[in-house]
Amino acid sequence: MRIAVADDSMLTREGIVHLLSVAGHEVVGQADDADRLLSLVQALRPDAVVIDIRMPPTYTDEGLVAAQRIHAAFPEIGVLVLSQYVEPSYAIRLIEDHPEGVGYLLKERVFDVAILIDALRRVADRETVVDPTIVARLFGRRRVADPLDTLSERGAEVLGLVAEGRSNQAIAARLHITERTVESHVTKTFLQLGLTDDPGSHRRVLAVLAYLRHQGITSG
Amino acid sequence: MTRGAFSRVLLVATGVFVMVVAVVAARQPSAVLTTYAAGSAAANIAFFIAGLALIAAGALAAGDRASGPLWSLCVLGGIAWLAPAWVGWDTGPALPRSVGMVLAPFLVPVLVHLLLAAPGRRLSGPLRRTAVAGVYGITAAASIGLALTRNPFLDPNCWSNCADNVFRLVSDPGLARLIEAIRLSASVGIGILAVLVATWQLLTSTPVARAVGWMVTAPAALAITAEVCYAAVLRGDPAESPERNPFVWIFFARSAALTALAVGVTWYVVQRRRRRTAFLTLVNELEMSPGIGSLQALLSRSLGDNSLTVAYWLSRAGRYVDALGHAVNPEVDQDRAMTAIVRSGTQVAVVSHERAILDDQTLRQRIGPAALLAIDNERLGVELTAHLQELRLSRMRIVTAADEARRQIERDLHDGAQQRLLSVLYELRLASSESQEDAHLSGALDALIEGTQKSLVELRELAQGIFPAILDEAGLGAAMGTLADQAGCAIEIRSVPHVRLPAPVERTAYLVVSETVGAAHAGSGGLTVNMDLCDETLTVCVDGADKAPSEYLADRVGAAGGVLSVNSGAIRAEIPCG
Repeated sequence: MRIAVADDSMLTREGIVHLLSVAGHEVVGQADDADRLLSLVQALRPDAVVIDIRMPPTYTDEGLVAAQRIHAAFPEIGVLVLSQYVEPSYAIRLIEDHPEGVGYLLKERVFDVAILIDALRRVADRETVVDPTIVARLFGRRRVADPLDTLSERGAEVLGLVAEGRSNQAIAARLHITERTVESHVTKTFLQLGLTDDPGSHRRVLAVLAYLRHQGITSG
Repeated sequence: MTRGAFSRVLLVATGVFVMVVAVVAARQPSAVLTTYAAGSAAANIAFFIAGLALIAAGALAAGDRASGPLWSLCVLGGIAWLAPAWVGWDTGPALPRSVGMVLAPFLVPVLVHLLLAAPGRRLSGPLRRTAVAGVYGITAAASIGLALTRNPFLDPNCWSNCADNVFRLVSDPGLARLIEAIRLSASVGIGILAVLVATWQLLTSTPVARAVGWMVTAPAALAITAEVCYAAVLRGDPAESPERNPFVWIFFARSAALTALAVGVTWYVVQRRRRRTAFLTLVNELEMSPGIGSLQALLSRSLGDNSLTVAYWLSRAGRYVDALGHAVNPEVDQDRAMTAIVRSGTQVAVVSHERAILDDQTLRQRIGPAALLAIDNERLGVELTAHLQELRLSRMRIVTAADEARRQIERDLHDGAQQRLLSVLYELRLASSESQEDAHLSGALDALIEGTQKSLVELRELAQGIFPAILDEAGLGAAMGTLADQAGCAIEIRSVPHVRLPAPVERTAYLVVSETVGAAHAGSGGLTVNMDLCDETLTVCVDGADKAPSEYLADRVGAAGGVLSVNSGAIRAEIPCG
């Protein structure tokens, strides 16, 4: 893969570049802020981009904004946003417009090269990636009369993997079950929670995340 | 008409009657000189002016119930003063002439009584009553004694009335002369004593009493002095004559002193009435004391200048503010004038107005005492408000500074320690991937990786606890979501405003919820959060709280200018956004 990396922290940037190079991928460009990254992406059209969410000048959500702009201008480029925040609202904001080909990963996870390469490959393949810690947090949220309690253990497990952005095929491989079994779990769980399943679309990730997040919120 | 009012009217009418008879008597042609008034035109004028003035002053004082016996003494004094005109009524009937002879000597006791009863009197009640009664008694005894014994016809010194006296029982010129001599001596003694008492009164009374009473006491003392002189001269030279000095001079002195006394009493009564009116007006204005901020409206309405402003000077803060405590800058140019309002030598306020409306002097005069009171009232209110405002702002600044410091610590942790731990993690992973052959080393490195990851998680939670970065970056909605994700109890967020609010408001609202969540038991029934924005006020309601909010939370809400209240498990904070 041809990959561009943007992070204002040189240590992290160099680390990622090193890991990717060792793994045999070509890092076509590096940037320390969003503007430089945007011009770099326009010129080099990489397969995937790794962006730190917090960059100059305000160190708030520049990475998120840049990711959305890249995604809007070049939908074929996969975008992976890195963050130190376990913030489901950021992840949801990233994927709510175009869930295909974007991912939100915690920074501490990217140095596990297998996870990094997997995530990049998935966003480049137009899948959605949501960090498991965020999904776990959403699942762990306390609720009054929790509807998740009514799910079977396998059903909840499948729902979590769907929320991480896994395809039915990937879930089947992970859980060592057939794809058809996965499909039936998904259909059943979605029915139980009142969600509409659309296996062909990555919108189901958003549906699950939004459901987990906003369950109980009537407005706002 | 009450009895008191009736007796007042009756006495004043008597005085007027005496006056009229005196005028009639004086107009009768006479072959010989029987009164001082007939001596010259000046004497005539002086005589009647003094009489008229006394009766008029008495009538005026009779209308003022609080001025004591002053009114009756004035009228009685006028009657006694005018009595010699009756006596000298050459062609008149004998009765009025004899009555006049009885009445005339009472001028001295009436004047003494007036002096002792004058405002600022010092003699105690019983002593004063005894003295007054004694003086009246002596005079009455002498006057009646004379009336019973004197036969003017046989009196070699007779001049005003040489006809007989209708009250005479016996004709004893020797006894009559003795009684008259005793009366005159007594008048001199009593008069001197009375003047001494008057001097003592004026010297020893308080400044206020002196200021009130001197205008009556001083002319009364003068009139008594004149009477003393008259009696003393008459005692030495019984052959009285209205054409001869020192009698003429003494007559003028007596008339002048009595006129002065009448003027003094009038002045006293008028002053008293004016003070009373001024006091009543003040009381009225106090009752209708205008509320804060209405002074400017009142002034601009009464002066017809819509642009008029009242600005108060806060000496501590060194700036002008309006009645509501907002900073203002009173302007001066060729069209606008500024009038300073000074209290106890200090400028307390300025009135800025159209120059053409009026000059400063007029304005100062028109701002009456009550308005000055309103100014003081407003100014004190304004000072208090400004002080409170300053306190509120400084409280807010302290809170904001503390928030900023926490925010900075969170950033430093994120950009410093967390980044460093990340790079350690990276190095460890590199080392781990290069040491796959050495199982022991690889295991140790994996343990290190796990430990570092735990540290990262803990550090991240610590940073988030110090300051929720998501709140500043994404607002209350996202921050509430995160809070609900992590909370130990179920939180239902029913409503959150969609708009971003000022940072201090968002932080305070967040704290209301996070503190309540922190205090809630893990197994509690769950909290419901409602945040509604209405009329520039954010209302945060948290239902289902186990514990009352901490004092710190109440202070935090208070620092933001809001109010925190608790009602059976429902915590409610109202935070102004303006």
